[in-house]
Amino acid sequence: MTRRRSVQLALMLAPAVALIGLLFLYPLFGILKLSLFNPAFTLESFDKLRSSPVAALVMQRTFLLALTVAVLCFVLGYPIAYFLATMRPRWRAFFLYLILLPFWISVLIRTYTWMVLLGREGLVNGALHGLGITDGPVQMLFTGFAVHLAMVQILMPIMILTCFAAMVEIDPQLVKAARTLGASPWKAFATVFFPMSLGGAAAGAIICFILGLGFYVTPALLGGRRNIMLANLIDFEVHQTLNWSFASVLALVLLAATLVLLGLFRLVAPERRLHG
Amino acid sequence: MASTEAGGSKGAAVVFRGLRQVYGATVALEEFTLDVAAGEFLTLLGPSGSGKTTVLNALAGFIDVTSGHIAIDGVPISDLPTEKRNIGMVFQNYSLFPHLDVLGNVAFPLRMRGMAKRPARALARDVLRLVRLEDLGLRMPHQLSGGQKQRVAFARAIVFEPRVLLMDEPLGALDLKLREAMQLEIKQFQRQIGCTVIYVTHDQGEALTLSDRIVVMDKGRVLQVGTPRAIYDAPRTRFVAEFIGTNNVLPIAAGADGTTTIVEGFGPLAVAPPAGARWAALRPEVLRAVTRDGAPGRAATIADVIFLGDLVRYAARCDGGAELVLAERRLPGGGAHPAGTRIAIDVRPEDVVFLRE
Repeated sequence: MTRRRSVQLALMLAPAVALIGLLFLYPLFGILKLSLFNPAFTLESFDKLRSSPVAALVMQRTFLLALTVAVLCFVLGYPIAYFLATMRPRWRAFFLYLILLPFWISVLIRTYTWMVLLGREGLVNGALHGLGITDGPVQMLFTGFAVHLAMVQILMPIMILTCFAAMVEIDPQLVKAARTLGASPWKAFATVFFPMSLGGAAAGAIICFILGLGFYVTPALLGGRRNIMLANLIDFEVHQTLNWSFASVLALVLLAATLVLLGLFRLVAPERRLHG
Repeated sequence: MASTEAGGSKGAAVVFRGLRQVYGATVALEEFTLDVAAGEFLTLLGPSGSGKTTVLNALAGFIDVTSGHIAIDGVPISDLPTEKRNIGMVFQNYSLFPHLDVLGNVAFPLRMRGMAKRPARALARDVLRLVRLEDLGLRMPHQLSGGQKQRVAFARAIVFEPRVLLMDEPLGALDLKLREAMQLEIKQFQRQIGCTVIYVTHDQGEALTLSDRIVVMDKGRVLQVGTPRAIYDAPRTRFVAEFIGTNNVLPIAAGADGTTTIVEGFGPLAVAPPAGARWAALRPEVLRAVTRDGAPGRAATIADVIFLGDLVRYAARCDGGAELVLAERRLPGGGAHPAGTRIAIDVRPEDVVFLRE
């Protein structure tokens, strides 16, 4: 790269760098400072993180929830992506549109929709009762089930699109080649298509996991008091107990987890070399 | 694979009967009937849309033809899925598995047949030796050159000793020099393993070089089947005459006395045209350019000179109006006529091919 070109590049990147510095790195630095000074240097909040049973429980619950949601997104989303990637292109746009449609609706609205569906007097309970399957309303709202269901619904388009993007890059001729070499359709899928799509699928699952870690609105509205997640706990410490130092420490935990996962993402994300 | 190295594995005879493929209103293939002998190198030659790929897809089991059937050594295969047909196939873009190394690719068909990993890779190594790539077994496909990929694809297609090998424009992605070298290698490999090869190409030079027999196809129909020499020397239709090699095809009329043919823009030939003949095909190498005054032949002017090393090719314009291409073998140290030279073009009547359609 010539010197002139690097100057040009620097100028073009400057606004973005300034924006990130001002709105992200500076506040982040503030959070780091909050977690370590109160007002003098102290590790009090980090000690609390280790000793607090509530924090441990919430962290464990959050990671488990994000993991379950990511796995469910993979298990449910992969076949849909496969269906999309191997179908006739004529119909593909239509189905992609169907998948993207809920994606364009705000998470808050989708969460409220689930409340309407799952509530005591909601559509699902009405239908179950009307069909004579249940006698009284089933408790679905304010349960872990509701949170899982809504989060999978919200995150699945991301999983599907990431998988789909990796799958359409796979030359369909490779599967045909496997067939001529003696592989049954299932074996051709298992030995050629699946390994080649795994990078994209893993990338999608990691994105879902990262996003799942930071979910706030959905657990708050659908989970009730018993399903508090890390983001909700941070909010609680900020607004209710006013322990900003501890809230900062929790935020740093979330950030650290995300960074580790991003590193993992870079390792698995599909690279050019797979398509040479 | 001892039998391969000893040249022991034999090819199978392939029989096509009335293969027909229709997509909506378009007929991709019309009544394709052909017998391929065991161990034969047969080329399907034609432009895109000629139906040659349809034949290949039907044989490989990628499509269900509208009607007709195929048998290998007398066994009908139309109802068998691709993986049960035991046909090796080399694809134009090689289709190597990018997530497997070279040995993994070549061992793949053996693994699919239930062979354990170690013996499969050992056998794969033997076949890689045949294509002289034994040192590259641990490379990934993206680390190979075009010619190397081609040979890996070939090794992978023959490692399970198929009795029929399909090759779909296997040299299409290579540059000219490499293509010529690979043609010789393919021919040599085929002789070594003795399997029947069905080779698809649109390159007539490749077809002439490699084949025992050529099937010339156009628009879903077979136009002519024959040895390279028969196809070149005795084309039956104008399409074949013009598709294979270079040819001068001119309209003709019968002479008034019944013993001559009038070639349009060129002049009379001392032979009566066969019944129904509409064109005369004159190969560049049967036309002789003579500069002597009073030489027999038709007067013409050289318009363009193309120097080819061993040959000199002239584009000449006859005084009668016909544009002809002539080829002359260049003698050692010999020159070439410059453009603008007045020549007489002579041809022996027996070297002229008459075409009906």
